Amino acid sequence: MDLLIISLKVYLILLVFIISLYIIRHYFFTYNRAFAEQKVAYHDVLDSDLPSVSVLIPMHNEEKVADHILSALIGQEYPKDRMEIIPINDHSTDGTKEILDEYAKKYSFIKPLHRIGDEPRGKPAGLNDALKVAKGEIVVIYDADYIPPKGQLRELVINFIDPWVGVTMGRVVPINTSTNMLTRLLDLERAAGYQVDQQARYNLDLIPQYGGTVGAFRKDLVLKLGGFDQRILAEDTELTFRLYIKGYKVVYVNRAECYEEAPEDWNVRARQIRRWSQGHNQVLFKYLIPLWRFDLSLWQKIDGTLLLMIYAVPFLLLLGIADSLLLFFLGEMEILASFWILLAVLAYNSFGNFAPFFQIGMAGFLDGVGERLRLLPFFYFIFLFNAWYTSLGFLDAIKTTITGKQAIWHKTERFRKNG
Amino acid sequence: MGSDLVSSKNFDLKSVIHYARFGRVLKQNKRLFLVQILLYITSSFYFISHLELISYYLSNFSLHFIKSTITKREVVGGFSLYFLSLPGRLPTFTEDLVAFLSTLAILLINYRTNLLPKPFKIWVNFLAIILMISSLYFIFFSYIFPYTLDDFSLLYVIAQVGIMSFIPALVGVSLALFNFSWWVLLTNFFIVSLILVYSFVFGAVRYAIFLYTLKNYSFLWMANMFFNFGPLLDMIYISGIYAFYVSLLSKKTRQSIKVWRWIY
Amino acid sequence: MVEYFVLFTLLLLLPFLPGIAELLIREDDNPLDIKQDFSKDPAFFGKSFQKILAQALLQRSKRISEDSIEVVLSTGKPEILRLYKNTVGGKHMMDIVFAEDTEVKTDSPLESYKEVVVNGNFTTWHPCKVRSLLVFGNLNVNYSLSVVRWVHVEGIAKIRARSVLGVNFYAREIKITAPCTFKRMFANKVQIGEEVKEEAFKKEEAHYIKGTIRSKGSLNIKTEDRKLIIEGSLISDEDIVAEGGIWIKGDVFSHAGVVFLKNVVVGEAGKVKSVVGKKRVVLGQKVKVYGYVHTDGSGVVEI
Repeated sequence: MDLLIISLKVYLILLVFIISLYIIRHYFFTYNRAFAEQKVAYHDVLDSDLPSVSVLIPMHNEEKVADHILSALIGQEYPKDRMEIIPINDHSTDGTKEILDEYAKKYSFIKPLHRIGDEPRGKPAGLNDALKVAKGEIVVIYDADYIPPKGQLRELVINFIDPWVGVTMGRVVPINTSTNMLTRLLDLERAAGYQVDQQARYNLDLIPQYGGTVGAFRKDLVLKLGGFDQRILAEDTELTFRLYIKGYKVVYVNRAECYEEAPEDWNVRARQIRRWSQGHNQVLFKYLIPLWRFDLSLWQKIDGTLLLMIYAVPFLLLLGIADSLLLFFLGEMEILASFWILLAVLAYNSFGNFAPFFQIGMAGFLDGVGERLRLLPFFYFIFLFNAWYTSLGFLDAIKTTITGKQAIWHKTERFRKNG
Repeated sequence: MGSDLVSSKNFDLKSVIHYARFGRVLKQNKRLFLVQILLYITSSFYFISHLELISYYLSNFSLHFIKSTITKREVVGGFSLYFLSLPGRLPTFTEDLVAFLSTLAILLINYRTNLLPKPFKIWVNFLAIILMISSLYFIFFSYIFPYTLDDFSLLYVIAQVGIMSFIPALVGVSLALFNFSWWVLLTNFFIVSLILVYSFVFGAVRYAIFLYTLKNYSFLWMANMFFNFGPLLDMIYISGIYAFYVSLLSKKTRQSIKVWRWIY
Repeated sequence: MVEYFVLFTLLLLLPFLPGIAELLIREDDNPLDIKQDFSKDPAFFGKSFQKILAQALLQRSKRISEDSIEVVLSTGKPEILRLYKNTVGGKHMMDIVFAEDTEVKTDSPLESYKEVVVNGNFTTWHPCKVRSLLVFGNLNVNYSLSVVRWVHVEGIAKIRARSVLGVNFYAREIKITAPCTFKRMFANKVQIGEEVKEEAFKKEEAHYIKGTIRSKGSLNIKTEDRKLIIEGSLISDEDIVAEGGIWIKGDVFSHAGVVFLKNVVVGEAGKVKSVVGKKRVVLGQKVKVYGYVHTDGSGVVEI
């Protein structure tokens, strides 16, 4: 019994230590983004010799949004003879195919790829197929609900004048902020994630993350590395680590802002976060040890480890709660009184919303927003929600890693109304 | 050199700036930043060294709300602390059974229906699961329940004075990032003080409510008081007041020449 | 005790109140504003002012005297457009100066807190301090020019006197033969001092580097006897310093500074290439850039 109690207490102390590391990391990022010299991407470079580009748009039943993204891409200020658009119709059963064919008739640079029959479904599989037919030197990926501004292709692609750059990533901004409380909270969460987190990691030469959309990469490089790993749901995070290990860099372009549609329904959000967690944890299992073997700086290794673990810690946190409950009923409330305080406060700070309150506050301040910041205390209610679905994703990742089964791709439902 | 050829300063009539959000950076006054960091971390240590006094005021303030009790003092981990002492009681079998069945019903309803939005559902489930575990514990092991109400009362005081000592460091260091002028240093200080006062009042009222509940409605609720209504609730007013303040600050300074600079 | 439970609930809910109010009143629920039509255009300021002015003259203007028109620009407030013929000068605190003739020159020092618009060629013989300058013909600066915001010249801009070229300087061609400061300059050809012809880089005599040079540390390139042609870009996290006969056919980008001391060509005729030094750009004698020069710090022409 004594051994059990000691183990439970040690676990709690370790957990508090790990979470404290995250808090320190986020404070450091917030400080860096607020005051330090900002490393800007290459978007100030004007060059008439732009590389050829293939824009890939994975689509599964996207009739609500297909028209918007295609119109936005057609309006891009990028030489049309240097670009092609490949919408990947991935087994759609709605009117997506017809919309794409209609566009293809009007614009020769739109070349839909229809995936039907027995071909495996899912974003990584679709992207791999599209990479085989894409002709551009650079591949840009947008999810179907995105609406890129007119100059964005150039802003993303120009960064490849630097031969060290393997991937570029832009900033994601929810367009449907006003819909309900969920979208408003996601708006704050995204701001903290991009405006502070990604930019600080880019400033500090750590590991900014490629998010799989509003981003671009060198086609030949990714093909040489074997394309996307179809067994992994977070193909974007996987690519980030694969490229860093090979010595390439991710450029985060805070200027390249693009609207996305945030989930408007808690069930959709739950599925999304569970899928992200599953994919991210698959990457954790694959890269945690290799990361330390390769030629990266110590800080990149530390940051990479913390980044890899970000979707595992909520699971550890839930275990911590169970651990605390056991200690409580075993009569060990004294340790709880001292450690539960820290655990709870730090846990809320860091994982109530994937960003501590001061990081969200600073992101909003830098964005110049006002009253929307007042929704911050509502993150209290999604603390357990996030922890629960992230933990389920963690367990899914363990299951697929052990069984070697193909992870199932659940597409995020769209909510956009016409017009 | 060109820069000293013709002064253009008096020409630029702008009173506001419009730096794009992607590259704007806060002006930093390192001295004010360090002063604040030092002030708030020292305050936290000062509070820690005066836990006895804080616990004294907290307990006495709570006495206003829950009168049928006395104040006791005990030394814990080298700190002498005041707390309220009163007798509590174990739950009866009927109370346990009712709690167990109600929580079971809640969990089943939540599982079968979508009456509540998902985050609230998960929160209610969490409450219910802890209450259910408590009820099962008291049904089978109530004779070995390790705590008295005095134990809980003392531990609540430890937790609450711990939170109060932690607030200057947590909130102060977060607000220290805003250091672009002397007046913001003063408003930051006001906000940290306000949160401390709120923490004291809320902590005292909550203390009385908890003791009253445990005394009159049994220890069945003790685990939930710790896990659901414990320190996690303190983050609500901390983040709430912080957020309200930063939103005002943001609105006031979003285009101020004195606050922003470009890229570096 | 009930009142204390109520007090507890109130204290618990109070921090949510501003948030609840925001959810109900929706003061700040719009998505962050992303300008969907934004694309990087070095002529943006001039073009956009031209558009606003043209629209105002067509739709929201009123002749109030022989030499002035009241116009309502984007601010929504009425402003005075002061009309001139072939000479401009004097101090203008509130008026937009508009010179109508095709050949315009200064007849006295010009000082304008607003925009100055010249319908044709503009030659300065006196000190000029302006907020912004729009010239539809060529610009010849013979006496110090100081610009706060932007200059847009449809023709050729020749800067022969010490000047402050504002935040953005756009022209079809820019020739600078005097010390200046700037932030951004764009032209088909930006030429500092005497022009170096690309023919001078005889292929058989020159050293060649094919491909981009990327450096983490500073990059110093100096040639003495033979010229150097780099068929690629120069990119560095630190300073890039170049002098001698160097022709860089790609872009030049430094996270710190770019210093071209003498005799450096960037780009090729008919193409657009960039020189970007985040903290500083220094351009010396015989430097030529086909395209764009940009810094967020200090831009200096040393001649």
